[in-house]
Amino acid sequence: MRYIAIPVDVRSPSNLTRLLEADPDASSAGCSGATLSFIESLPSDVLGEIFLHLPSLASLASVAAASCKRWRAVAGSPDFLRGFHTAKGSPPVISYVTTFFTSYPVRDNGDLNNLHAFFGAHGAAGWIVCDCRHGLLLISQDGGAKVMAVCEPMSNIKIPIGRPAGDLYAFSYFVDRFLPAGDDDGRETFRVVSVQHDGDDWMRTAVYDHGAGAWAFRSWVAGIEAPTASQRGLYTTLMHGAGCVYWKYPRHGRLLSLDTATMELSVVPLPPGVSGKLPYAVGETKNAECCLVAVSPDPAVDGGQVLQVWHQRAGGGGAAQCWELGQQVPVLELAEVAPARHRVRCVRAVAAGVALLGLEGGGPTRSSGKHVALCLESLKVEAKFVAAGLIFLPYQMAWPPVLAIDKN
Amino acid sequence: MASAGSGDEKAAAAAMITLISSDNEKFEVTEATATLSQTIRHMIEDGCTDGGVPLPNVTSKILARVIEYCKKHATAAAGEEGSSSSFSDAAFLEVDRAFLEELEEFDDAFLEVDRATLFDLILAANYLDIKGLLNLTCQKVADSVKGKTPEQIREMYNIVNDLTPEEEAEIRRETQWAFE
Repeated sequence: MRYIAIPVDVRSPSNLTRLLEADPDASSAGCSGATLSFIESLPSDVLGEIFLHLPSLASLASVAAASCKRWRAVAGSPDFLRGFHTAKGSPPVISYVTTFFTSYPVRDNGDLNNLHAFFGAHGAAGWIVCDCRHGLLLISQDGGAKVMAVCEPMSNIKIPIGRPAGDLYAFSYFVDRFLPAGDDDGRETFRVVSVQHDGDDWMRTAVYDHGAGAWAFRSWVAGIEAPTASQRGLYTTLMHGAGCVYWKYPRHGRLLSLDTATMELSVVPLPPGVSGKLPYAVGETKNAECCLVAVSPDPAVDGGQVLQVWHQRAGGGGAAQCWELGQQVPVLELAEVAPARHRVRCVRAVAAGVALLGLEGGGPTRSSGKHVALCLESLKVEAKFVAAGLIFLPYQMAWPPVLAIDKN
Repeated sequence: MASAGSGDEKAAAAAMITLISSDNEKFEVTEATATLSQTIRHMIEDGCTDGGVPLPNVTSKILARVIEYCKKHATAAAGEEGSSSSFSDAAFLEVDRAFLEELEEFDDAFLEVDRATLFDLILAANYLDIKGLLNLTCQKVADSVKGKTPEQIREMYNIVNDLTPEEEAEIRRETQWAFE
């Protein structure tokens, strides 16, 4: 009952049926040995079509990846994953991690103990988080140290990266996974970008490509002002939004934007009525499109607030053309957010269609430390926690691991 | 699907196409039914359907099932187009809802097949490029593996575990927080 080395055109159902009819017990007997199963005979594109009907990245990773090598290869190919993410939307945020590696889970399903143990151990060892994207963390020890690292909790791998020479100009770093152009194997890797400024209006980027293992500098660009660092920290908060990275100019109604495909820097206006003083953040919708969530004074209610979701328009030129107002909801109508007439103090992050809002306390202290993760589509609160900290980076589920593949 | 009722609806409905299975059986179908398949639609557009369309990848048994699906769904598509003009909105919605329910029942019954037939239908839907049928059949397989352990899936589909113990340990670590 073994089928070995029979040349079969697997695209032909008739051949397949004929082969199976030759041994009607093959499918039902559950016999040991290399029995030809129907599902293994499907061409890869059809197998991919089946995987596209799985409900989420979690089920893809736990079902497809774990069964056999071929399924793993089909499910993990960048081409397939692009289609999968387009169909299913962004992978969910499973945790928020602060600069100092304190983490707050968003979902209580799944075993997040290892993830939080990983975060805890790095926090205890004095690492701080500079950026978090696609399951990768860019970390640095003790601010001024020479060594940074990219680590991946999923594969438990950490790769040290030396800072570029002449890095005293850097005001921000970020990490990104990407597919190198012309890579026929379709293997994703990562890069680290250092954004640097000299004086008020000279800027450049330096890119560390993991494949090349070295930093490459872009030319200085004149006429773009560097966003002044907030607080006394080394890093201004950066925000990822659909192929671009954004920084706030705290005193102006503008954003600095870096296109991660072209490494081109530009200045983007804020939506009308949104100023640098209001709580706002740039991020991504469930469909991985760029959006801006702002909380403005409600003209209809004295002291009231209104939550606005702005969508970025493709190819928007002038100030008002850049953003289009989507939803607009009075904060008081968000029963779970404002049960005690809490006011929104800040928008910490927006990722996968979930906005993390920091709330004001009712008492004399302005900051209550209360946070709610609000789903922008359903307007339901997905998580609540009390936390001190200024920067909360969304950790989204990611699969397959980038660093583990690199190891082989 | 919507294109089944385009401009020259009557002419399209009258035109017949002959499909020939791998075992040389001939099936006469309307053009509206046949054009649910993008592959056949392109053949018709290219004017190469005279003398029948040979489908060497599809057996008569599977082709008969595929045609059964296409007939039902072509009728549904034509029904939607036709009813929109002759009913008031409320009546139209009622008819529409009944139609969709009936179609859903049909689809459920259609999927009551053994695994060999299901995979043959997937391959035929893929080859003939019938989006609705491909979605329907692939969803059925995806639902059958969803929420199962790798061991259960391998057993269900006779998949040989070709992963080394090291690879399996790595996968377990990768997916430990990937539960629904």
